[in-house]
Amino acid sequence: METGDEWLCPACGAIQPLPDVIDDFACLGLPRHLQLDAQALAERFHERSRRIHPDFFQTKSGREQALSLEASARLNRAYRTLRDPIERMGALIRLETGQPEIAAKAPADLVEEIFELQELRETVRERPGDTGLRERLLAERNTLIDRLTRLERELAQLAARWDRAVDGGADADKRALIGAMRDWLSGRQYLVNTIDDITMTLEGRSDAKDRRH
Amino acid sequence: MPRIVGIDLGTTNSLVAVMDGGRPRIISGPGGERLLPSVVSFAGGHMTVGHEAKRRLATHPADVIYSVKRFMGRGLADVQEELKFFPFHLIEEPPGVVRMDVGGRRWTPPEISAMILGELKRWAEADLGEPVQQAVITVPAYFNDSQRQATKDAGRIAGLEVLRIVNEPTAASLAYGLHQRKEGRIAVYDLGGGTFDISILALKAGIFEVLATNGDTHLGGDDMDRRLAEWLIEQAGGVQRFETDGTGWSRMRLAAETAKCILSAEDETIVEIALPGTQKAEPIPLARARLESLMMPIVERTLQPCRLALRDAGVGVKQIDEVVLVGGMTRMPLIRRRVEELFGRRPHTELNPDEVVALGAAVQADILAGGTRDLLLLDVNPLSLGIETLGGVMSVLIPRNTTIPTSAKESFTTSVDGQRTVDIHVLQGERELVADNRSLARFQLSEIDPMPAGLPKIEVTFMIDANGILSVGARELRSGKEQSIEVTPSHGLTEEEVTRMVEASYVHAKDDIARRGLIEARNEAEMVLRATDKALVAAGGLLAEAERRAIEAAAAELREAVKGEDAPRIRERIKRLDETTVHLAGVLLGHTIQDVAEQRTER
Repeated sequence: METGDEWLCPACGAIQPLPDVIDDFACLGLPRHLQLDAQALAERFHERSRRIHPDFFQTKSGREQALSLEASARLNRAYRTLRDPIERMGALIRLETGQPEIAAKAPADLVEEIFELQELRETVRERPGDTGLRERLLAERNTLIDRLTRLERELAQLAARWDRAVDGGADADKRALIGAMRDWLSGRQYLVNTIDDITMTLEGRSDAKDRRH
Repeated sequence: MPRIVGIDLGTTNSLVAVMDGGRPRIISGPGGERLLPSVVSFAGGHMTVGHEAKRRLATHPADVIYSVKRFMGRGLADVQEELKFFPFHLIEEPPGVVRMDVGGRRWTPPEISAMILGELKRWAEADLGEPVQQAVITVPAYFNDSQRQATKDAGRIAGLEVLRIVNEPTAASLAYGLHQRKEGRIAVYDLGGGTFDISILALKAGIFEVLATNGDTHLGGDDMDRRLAEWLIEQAGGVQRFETDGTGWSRMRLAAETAKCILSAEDETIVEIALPGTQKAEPIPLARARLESLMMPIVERTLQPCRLALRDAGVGVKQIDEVVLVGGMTRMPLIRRRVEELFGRRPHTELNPDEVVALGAAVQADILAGGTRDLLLLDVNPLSLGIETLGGVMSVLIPRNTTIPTSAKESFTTSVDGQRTVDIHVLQGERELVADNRSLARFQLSEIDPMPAGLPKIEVTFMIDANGILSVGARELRSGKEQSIEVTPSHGLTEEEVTRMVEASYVHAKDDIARRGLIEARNEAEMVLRATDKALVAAGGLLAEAERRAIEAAAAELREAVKGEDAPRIRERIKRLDETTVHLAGVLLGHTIQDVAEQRTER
C-alpha cells in the first residue's frame, strides 16, 4: 500500500481517522526526497484533495465530515511545506532528528561579525543624520545580500546529495548531511534576519520582537 | 432530493441561482426581475424588500436601510468614516455590534440581511415549487472571520442552513471556468457596490486553486456614488442651498447612481436636481471625462491590491492568461481601461458581471449536494491569523493565502502556581502590533487543574474551515482530556443571540403566514359578496322571499367577519354563503338558458 492511502478505507472508500503521527511526506505519499518536481507535487496534491476534501463529504455523516476536515487541513499544510524547498528541508530535519532545524545559538564563526554589526546599527540609530555611517551600513547589507545569494546556490546540491544517500541506504552519509543541512539553514536564517534588521534600522523602524519565534 | 440554492448577497443587489440540468440558472422574482435590490424599507409601518423598498429611499430615507453589507460583522468604530452618508440612525450595542434604529426597532445587520435572504428564498420556493432550506452564500474574498460569521448568522435567521460561505471571485471563476473550459492562470477583478476583491487562480483539470487574494472591504460603487453626489451638490450651489428637507442627500445619491450608469454607455448626460422650496429643476451637465477625473482616485485604490496579490501568488503579470471582470462597477469604461493597462491584456466581459457570482454559487451548491465530483475549489484565507504575545505584538500562526481548510497548533502553559485560567487573544491582519490588527475573539482556557507554574501543557488547535471561519479546540496534554474554552467574539453576535433571533424569526414567519392568510380570505370574501349582490339583482322576482332573506343574512354575517382578524371564521362564512346560494346559482343558470332559448324562439 502506498503511504498516505490509509486516509480512505480500501474496501468502502469511507474516510478514516488520520494516524496520530503522519509526516508531510507521507501525507502526499512521497519518499523523504528533497528534489521534488513542482508540477508533479501539485498534481499529487490535487489528486489527494479530490479524495478527501470536505466538499465531497457534505452529504455524509457528521463524523466523516469532521474527519475530512482534519485530513484536508493536514494535507494542505503538508503541501504548503513541501512546495517550498527551504521549508521542505526544515521539515525533513525535524522529522529525521526530532530537533528544530535551526540551531538555537548563532553559528560560532559568525559571533564576532554579529556583534560588530549590532554596534554599527546602534550607532546609526543614535546618529540618524550621519550619512557616512549610513553608507557603511548599506555597504554591509549589500555584502550580506551577496553572501545570501551565493549560499542559496548550494541548496540544489545539498538536496541532490541527500537524495543519493537515501536511495543508496548510506546512513553515515545521511547523518553527515543532516548536520550540513542544519548548518546551511542556520547560516541562511542568520543572513536573512541580519539583512532585515539592517533594513529596519535604515528605515528608522524598531525591531520586531517576535520575528525569530 | 431538496435543492441547494446559490445566493449572491450583494451590497446593492442580490441574486439567487440554482443548478438545472447541469447548468446554473438565475431564478427570477414574481415580476420577472433577476436582481433584488438589497434594500429593506420600514416606511408606513410595514417591511418591504427590493424594488419597492428602493423606491421609498427618495421619500422616506430615514426608514430605509440600504448597503447593510457594509455593516456586517463590524463595530461602530469600523464604519465611523461613512456614518454621515447613511440617513438611518446607528448605535452600538453591545460593543462591537452595530444596530440600526429604524421602524421603531433596533436591528442588527444580520437581521436585515436575513430579510433580503428571506425574499430570495421565497423567489426560489415559488420557482422550484418546493421548500428551500439549504444555501451557499457568497462573500467578498477579503471578508474577515466576523463578517463571514455574520453572513452565516443572517442565513440561519432567514431559515437557511448555510452549507458553505464561498468567496465571490472564486465563485465567479467557477462559473467562468465552466463556461470557457479553460486552463491556466486567471485574475478575477471584482468591484461591487461596496467591496473590492482581486484573486489569482490556477485552473487545471477541474481544480480551481486560489493562489492569492487581496482587496478592500470598504471600496466600491457606493463610494463612487457618494463622490459624484458630493460634486453634484457643489454644482447645485452647496449643501446650505440644497439640504433642507432631509431627503436631499438621498435623492442626490440616487441621481448620481443613475448618471454613473448612463455614462458607461453615453459620453454625456444631464442630471436634473429638483431644488428644495422651488418647483424648478436645475440641470447639471455631466460629461464622461468629468466623471472619470472624479472617479480616478477610487479606481487607483484597486490597483495596489492587484499588485500585492500577484506578488503573494508568486506570479508575474505576463504569466496571467486571462483577466475576468466581475461586479456591476466593472461596466465603467475607465475601470476596463485601467485593468487592461495593469495586466497588459483585454479583460473578459462575455459573462454578465452582475450574475456570474450567483451562477458560481449554484455550481458550488451542486458540488456540495454530490451532483458532481469533477470540480473542486481550493480557496485561501485572506488574512493572517495570529495571537497576542508579550509586548502587544501579534504572532502569526496561519499566514495569509494559506489553502483552507488549515490548522495550527500552539502550546500554552501557566505563569503562576495554581493558575486556573489562560487567556488567548486571537487576531486577524497583517500588521505587527496587536492594536493595528483586528481582534477576532478572546478565548479563555478555564478549569485548568491547579499545578505549579509552567507544568500544565495545553495544546490549542486553531482550525480554519472551508468557509474561512475559525474554530478553536484545546487539550491538556498530560491528561489528554479536552480543555473547556469560553469564547467571546470581539464583533458580532453570540450563539445565544443568534438562536434567539432564529426563534423570533419563526414567530414572525408565523405572523407573516397568518397575515397573508387573512388578506387572502378577505379578498375572497369581497369577491364572493360582490358576486352575490349581482346575482340577487339579476334574479329579481325569480327568488322566494325566504330564500332571499337567508342569503342576505349569510352575506351580512360574512361582512361582519371580514371586519375582524379571524381568517378561519371568514373562510367558514364564505362557505356558508356559498351553500345558501347554491339554489340561486341554479336558478340564474336556468334563467340564463331560458333567456337564450326565448331569444332564439323570438327570432
